[in-house]
Amino acid sequence: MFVINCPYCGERDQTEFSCHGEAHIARPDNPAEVSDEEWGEYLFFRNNPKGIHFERWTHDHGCRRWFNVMRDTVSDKIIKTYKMGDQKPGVTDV
Amino acid sequence: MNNDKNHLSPLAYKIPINSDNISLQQNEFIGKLNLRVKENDLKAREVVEKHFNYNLPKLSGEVSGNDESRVLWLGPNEYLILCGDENKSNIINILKEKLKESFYSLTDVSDYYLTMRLSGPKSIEVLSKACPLNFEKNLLKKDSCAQSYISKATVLIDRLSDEPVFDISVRWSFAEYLWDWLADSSNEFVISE
Repeated sequence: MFVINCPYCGERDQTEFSCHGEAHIARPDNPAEVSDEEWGEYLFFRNNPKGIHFERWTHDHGCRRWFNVMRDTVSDKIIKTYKMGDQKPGVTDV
Repeated sequence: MNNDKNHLSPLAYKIPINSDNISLQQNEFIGKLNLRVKENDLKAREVVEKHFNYNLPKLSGEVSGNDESRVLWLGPNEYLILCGDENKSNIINILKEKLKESFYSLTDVSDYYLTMRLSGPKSIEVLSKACPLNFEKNLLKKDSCAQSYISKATVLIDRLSDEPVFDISVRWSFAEYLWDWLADSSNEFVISE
């Protein structure tokens, strides 16, 4: 059983959660002024690292809150979970 | 089972289970209100707490209440208020008036959910068949609640006493499915030895 630590509910089974892609992607402040290339970059292009990856998850069947997850894509190990709005942890922080 | 909404319930024609090991019944309809206030809005919290005369739950799964009402933790800024059907409009009016200056939402969700009660010494065994909560770890003690799923239905489980007595709230449209699932899973404990 794969257990995820929800920042609000504590340790729960993975099946209660779902992943919604990469975290910390900021929408450009001035969409009308950015070039098509920059907009495309924001809209479609995502990192696909081998190693540490930051993702957005929701606790669908629990508190239904969104939070961020720092996960190692090689070992599938979840290194850290933290609330939306919290500072993105550096690789050396954990 | 004697209030007039019961004939509308999808569980109206289900046969309750009553045995030494396991029991399953539909609860009477009661008032259910979803309240959202900001976590850090102490003033709003105080207003609500003063009205109910007890504290709002702060941590995951906490439940507070008295004989008249019960407040369940649903999220860091979200609560479910359970009260008698007759008190419902009263609570709505008072909270609306008192929270006028706060940022809040109060939704009457009484008819969103049906609640069924699963009880008896084998009820944890039945729930464990398809609910990922760790009942061994004693997450769900007396007067605490947890949201999770049972088989394919998202549920809110509220434990009422030290004995295994669980009030399981489920969306109206899932009620029949969940009842059938629970009844089927309880079946092996009902058959007399």
